[in-house]
Amino acid sequence: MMLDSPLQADNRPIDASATEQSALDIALLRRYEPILHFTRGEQFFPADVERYVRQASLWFQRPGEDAICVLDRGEVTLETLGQVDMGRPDAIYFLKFTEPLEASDLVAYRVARRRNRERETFIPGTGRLARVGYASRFVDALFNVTLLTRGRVPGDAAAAAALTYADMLKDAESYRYHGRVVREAGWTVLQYWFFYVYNNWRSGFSGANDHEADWEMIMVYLAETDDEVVGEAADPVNDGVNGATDGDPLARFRPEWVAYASHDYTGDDLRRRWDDPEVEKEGTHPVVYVAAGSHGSYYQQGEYLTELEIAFFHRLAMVADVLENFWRNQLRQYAGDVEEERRGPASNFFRIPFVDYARGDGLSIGPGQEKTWSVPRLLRSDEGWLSTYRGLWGLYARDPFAGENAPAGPMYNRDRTIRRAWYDPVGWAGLDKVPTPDEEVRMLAARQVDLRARQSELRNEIQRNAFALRNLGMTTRAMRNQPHLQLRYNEYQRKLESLSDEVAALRRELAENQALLHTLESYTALARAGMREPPRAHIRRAHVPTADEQFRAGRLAEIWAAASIGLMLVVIVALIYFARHFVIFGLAAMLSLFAFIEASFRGRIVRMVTSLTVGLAVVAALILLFEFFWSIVALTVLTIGSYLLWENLRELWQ
Amino acid sequence: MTKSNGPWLRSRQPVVRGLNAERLAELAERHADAEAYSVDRRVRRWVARVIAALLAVQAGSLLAMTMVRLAQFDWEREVADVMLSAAALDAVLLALMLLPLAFFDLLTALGMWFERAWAWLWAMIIQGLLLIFCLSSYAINRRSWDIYFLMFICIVLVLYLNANDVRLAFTGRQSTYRRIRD
Repeated sequence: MMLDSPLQADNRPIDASATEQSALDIALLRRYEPILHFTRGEQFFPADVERYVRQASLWFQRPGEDAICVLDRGEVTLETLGQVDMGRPDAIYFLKFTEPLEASDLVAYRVARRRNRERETFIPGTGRLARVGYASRFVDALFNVTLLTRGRVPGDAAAAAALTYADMLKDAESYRYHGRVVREAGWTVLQYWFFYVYNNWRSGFSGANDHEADWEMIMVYLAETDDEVVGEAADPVNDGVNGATDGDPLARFRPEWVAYASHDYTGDDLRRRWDDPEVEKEGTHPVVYVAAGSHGSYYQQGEYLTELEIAFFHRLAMVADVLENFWRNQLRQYAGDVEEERRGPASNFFRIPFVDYARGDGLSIGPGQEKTWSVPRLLRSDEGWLSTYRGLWGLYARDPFAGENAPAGPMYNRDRTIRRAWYDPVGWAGLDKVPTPDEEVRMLAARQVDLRARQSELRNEIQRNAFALRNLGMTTRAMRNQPHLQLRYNEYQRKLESLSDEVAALRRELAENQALLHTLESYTALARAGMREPPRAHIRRAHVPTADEQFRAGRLAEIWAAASIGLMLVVIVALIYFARHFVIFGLAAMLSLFAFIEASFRGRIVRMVTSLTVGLAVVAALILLFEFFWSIVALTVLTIGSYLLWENLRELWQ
Repeated sequence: MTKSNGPWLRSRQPVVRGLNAERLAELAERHADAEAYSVDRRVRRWVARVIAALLAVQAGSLLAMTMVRLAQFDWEREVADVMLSAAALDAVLLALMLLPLAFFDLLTALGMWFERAWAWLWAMIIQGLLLIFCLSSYAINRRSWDIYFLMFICIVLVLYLNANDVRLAFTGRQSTYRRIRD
């Protein structure tokens, strides 16, 4: 099997004497390289960082000062980037990709976009505001207002980036990812880093933010297998799926897990097992649905409601979560309600809803698709531009929420700390507690040996202590009712209790270990036979696309959703100005009317009436409790007393 | 055959002669379903009648409150004056608010007695309106024993109506019906 030649940072192929490791890494990366399906209307696709960097200029800015250009456009290369002196600790270094457009260029761009409407235009679905309630819309309104005051990328930046990127594609159309292979904790981790020149989620798709440069990533986790450990026919799930043939150096690697990065999520919910039906694959290539604008990676095509939490509202959001959980699970308000159980919990009041459109109806890149990958760029930690340059990869917009600021590189966070996905890719996806299949079998065997040894020790110890206990018990009974031995008796009594507890604890440990041993033996037999737990057992809350019926809202409902908050503010001002004495009543009437209208659009009149009535009943109950507290206490005590009296008399009668 | 529920199904098995095993199995299944249905229906009927009784008591309370308030005034003198006194006007407004609610309460009680699906939602709406009335009265310091009593009945009814089995018995039936129809 021929292995592709890897590329160095300056695009020169590594010669034949390059390490076998690099060649193997590239081969692994290519074997499992993903297929990306984009959404129609997406303008930016994975590009090579070298080409981006050559179009950018390098700047730094200190707090309260103007930005200073370090290297002009055309002077920045990956090599020079790796040599930048990052010695100014208070300065923020950033690359700048876009320049302000001339008005004529902007107009020409907009006209050209309109002409290409049929092929390239994104068609939004149900508005994001129509999918959530008033509180979320209000928080969204606040968020939009803050955009006027905090830093943001210039309004024409997206257009400028699109034009520059289009020129780059015209010069040389290529789609490239940046690959990295990490070996950690028995896993071979294939990292696929995708670099986009611009993230136009806000301006293009009603999302949360725009920023220059965007790094996204997915990972494939491989395990080296020894068929003798797991069994030749032991892995019916992965059998034959690694595309291996006899003599193939990649044959010993089996894909076990994938993890797609999406916004700032980490942990168990991110990863999927290779045999999970949710993971689409074409041969050995996992399929990724890329969200429009934000470029988040998803397993299934669809529209994902993503909630952005503002740090200011964090505590309120947590309280809202607790209350929702209490209402839904403890009070069981929607138990048995098929519609409500299918809808799931409502979005949190204090989080701003945005939609990630990962429809997969646009361009596709990957093996066997309309566009294919160029030879990947291999990432190594010792490369200067990766490790030395800790600045931002795009414009620094001075946004305190950081949403509009460009990201740092694959190795660093914006605050210059190292990304967990870089230094601990296994732990990032929650795999640090999962051994590879071969290691699992070996660990199981070792654990059973340890347990059996411990059982043997326990049995000996129990035998000794039980004998001592019987001895002590006999002696203690002999000393009973002997006044002259009272002190000794008390001492022996205490020892007896202590030893009895000790023996009971040992017996309990023996019994528990025996049960554990039995379980481990069964589990080992299953593991050796290649049988595994359900692929989704580790997932607590999967991020699933919004179901069609959840956001089937008419045009009127969407208009109402967009206008409701503004209208609410106008009514409040009118009440204060024209009817100050009736403000409270007016507010209550307005909120009731708005709630009724909203519930009508969503077909949730019954839920609204029920929730409101139950809420009022709770308030009324609290009032009664406050007003008649001691009477209620007295009545409760009398009731309990009467009940006890009745039960005891009944028992006596029987 | 008689059409009574439960005990009939338990104590008197239908006589079947000359039927094959398949037909017997079919009958057994139908009777099992009928038995489950009849038990479920009996529970639902009992619950509905308790709620209906409470609604009737509530309607009676509303009527009594209104009558007591109105009886406090000498209406001949009030009418003789050009305008009603503030207290009398207040009592009239109260009557205008509570009497329709009492009427709907009675209607809902009847609907609940005959296990109509709409009765559950109507009962909830009425409790909501009455609770708003009670809480508003409490907020403006109109705190009398009748308001507290009304609050108490509303709370008991809401608890009952919101119980899982009661809610499912009325709203769940609609979902089932919709699914079958679809």
